[in-house]
Amino acid sequence: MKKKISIYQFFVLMTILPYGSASLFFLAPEAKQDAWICLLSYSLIGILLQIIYITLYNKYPEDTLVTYMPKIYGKFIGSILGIMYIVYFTYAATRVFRDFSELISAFSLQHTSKLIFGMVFIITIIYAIYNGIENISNLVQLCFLIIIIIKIGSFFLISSMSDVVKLYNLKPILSDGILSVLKKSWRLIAFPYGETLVFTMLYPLVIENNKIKKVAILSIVTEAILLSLNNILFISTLGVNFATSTNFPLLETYRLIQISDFFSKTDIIFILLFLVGGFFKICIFLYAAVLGTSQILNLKNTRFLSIPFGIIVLISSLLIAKNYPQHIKTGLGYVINYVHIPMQIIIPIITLLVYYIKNLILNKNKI
Amino acid sequence: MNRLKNHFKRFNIILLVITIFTSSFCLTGCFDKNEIEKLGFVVALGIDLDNHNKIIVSLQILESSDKSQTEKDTKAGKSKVYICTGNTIYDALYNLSKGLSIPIKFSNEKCIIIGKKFAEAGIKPIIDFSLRFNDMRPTTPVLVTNGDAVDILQMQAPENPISAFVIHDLIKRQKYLCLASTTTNLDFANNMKSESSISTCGIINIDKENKKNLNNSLILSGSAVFRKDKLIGYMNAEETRGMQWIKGKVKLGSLVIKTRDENKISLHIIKSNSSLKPSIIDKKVDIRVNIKAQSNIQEISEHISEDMNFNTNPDIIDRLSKEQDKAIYNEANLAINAAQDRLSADIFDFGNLLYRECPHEWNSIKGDWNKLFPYVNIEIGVSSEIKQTGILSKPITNEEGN
Repeated sequence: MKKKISIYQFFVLMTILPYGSASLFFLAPEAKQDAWICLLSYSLIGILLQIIYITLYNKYPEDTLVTYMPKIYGKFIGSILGIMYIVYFTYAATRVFRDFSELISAFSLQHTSKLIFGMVFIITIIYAIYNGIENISNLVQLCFLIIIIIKIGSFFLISSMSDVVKLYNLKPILSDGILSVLKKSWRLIAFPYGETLVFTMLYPLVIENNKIKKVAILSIVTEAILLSLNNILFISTLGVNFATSTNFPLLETYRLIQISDFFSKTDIIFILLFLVGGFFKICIFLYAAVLGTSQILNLKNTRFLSIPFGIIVLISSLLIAKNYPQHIKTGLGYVINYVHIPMQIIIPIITLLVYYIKNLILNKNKI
Repeated sequence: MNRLKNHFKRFNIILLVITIFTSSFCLTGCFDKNEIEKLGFVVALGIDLDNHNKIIVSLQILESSDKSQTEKDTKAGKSKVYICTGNTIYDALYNLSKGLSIPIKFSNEKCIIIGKKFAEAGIKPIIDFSLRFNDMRPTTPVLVTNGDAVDILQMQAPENPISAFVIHDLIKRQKYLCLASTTTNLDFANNMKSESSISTCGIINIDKENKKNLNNSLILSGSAVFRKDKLIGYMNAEETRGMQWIKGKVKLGSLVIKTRDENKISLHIIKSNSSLKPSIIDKKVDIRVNIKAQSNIQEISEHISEDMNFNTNPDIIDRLSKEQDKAIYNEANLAINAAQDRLSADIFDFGNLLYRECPHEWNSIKGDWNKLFPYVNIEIGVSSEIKQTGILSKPITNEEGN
């Protein structure tokens, strides 16, 4: 397989992937003001998951998730699992796509049909995937810098206003002990940290693959820090009560920016910034699905696969839920329990165990 | 180079054309386009309740500038007030559109004014309305008036014919002067759900008492107290500032103190802050408030009999700051009396403070907090300083005669 991604690009891709849509929501509202602690502590499990994925990858350093599954399970079961993962990646891309089209329709284009701006959005994504991962990762390198700069800028803008950041809103810290809070917020394992599963498709593309483990762990930690900073920011500005009752708390925080009379109403810039994050997230998921399909079907020209996949994402994103609350409810409940957890945690662990048992048996036979 | 050309020839150029065409048509907004000349910008929203429980909504809308350009003498913009009624706020606005030819937009809104009757019935609808859609911002201030909100909007103050702008400036001043509390719709939303569930907001009225002043003017002074979303009482300007002393928010203002021989000295407050130390022992709540303040001497009036040469005798300053302590203490006490005896409402947000600082003990008294609050022991300690005496080092009348 041709190596295309540098190690720094890999780091950026991995950081931006969960961040893309996780920054939109109040993850773990059950934990109230302690959500940021949960985000930090569950990153440990995120690291653990990465170690599992990378251990699996190290056994087959030239293969992706879709191609080593048949080598472990045999052709029939392996291909079924591979197809399941392709469907899963497409579905994940669809969910994120819906998140962002709801964001646009709630905040800027209320009367426009979702199909119209969805079409514009998906054409850009199709074009990006058509051009391949090396272009996406070059672009991500550039945009990550912009995201970080605007992030820091907004931080300064918000804290420069008097009486807006009230750090006391974060109190009381862990009043019921850390365990009860962690119990309530276990879903954080699947979203955002478990989503890094998609990189099992991209590991073989990284040039310096001996550094993958180190960089993956670093990027999960960066991710956790970024997300918990976001969390601290909107809890301390909006207050826990209002933050839990708004759909997009971070954006609501940016809407507070008002520096005397001339600098306000900057939210459209931040919507664009969120869209950039979302764009890369959808791109990576969809690219993984396209790559997987081409590997299963042994296709040589993979570029044109991006078009049917893009159309599928656009149409199914409109069909997966009747309205926004239903979309969120299935996304944070049903999908996590029955889709994310098995796909992200159970199947990889079983695969690793099967690999070890198989090797044990084979070695015994040799002796 | 050839490869690049071939690359573009085949597919990319088509894709590029499609993208450019679709975006040039769609990104301008086919259904959501807003053109500034064709919009009515609402600068103030007034809400009242009539006798049949219908909601009266009054809007102050800026008039588009091309009309005022013809009349050269009017430098400031003009505005018109529209009134409509309906079962809900949005219903009323919808009814308005029968007579108003332009769509209205709330993005430039400066304030929400609530009539007394509506406030007594509960302001939840307006808070919900203002936070649900992206037109209005979570930074919009909310004010209450003793009469009808319509009258406030129709008022033309001498400094600016558009009352919304006047109110906006008044609110900005009071953020530091603290004679009226300034509360936004976001604060209301948070306070309604919070532990003590008491919010205060400023009161705006037309100044009727001041008859010498030919021009009517708006007055923002005192605060209205809400439990959950219902108006339960009022506080005057002094009590409001007492409350803000305890919260540590007073940043500007004047304070009059008396010396031993009944002479008055005005002090100019520069800054203040407060620290609160709560404790709950056996369901008995004890709160220690420590207020720190700094001020300058602004004016020494009337005949001074005692020696006020500050530079030779700095001890006088210490004595005066003791007097200042007393004055601040008295104001804070006014607020405590109002809160505990008259309103029996936790205007200082001590409920949240206790929840933050002692969450376990708070859970045991949370249910009875409204009953317990009037008996809470609040101790106030003030330590203030006088930093400057201004350009004069001593009173001018000091030498010549008393």
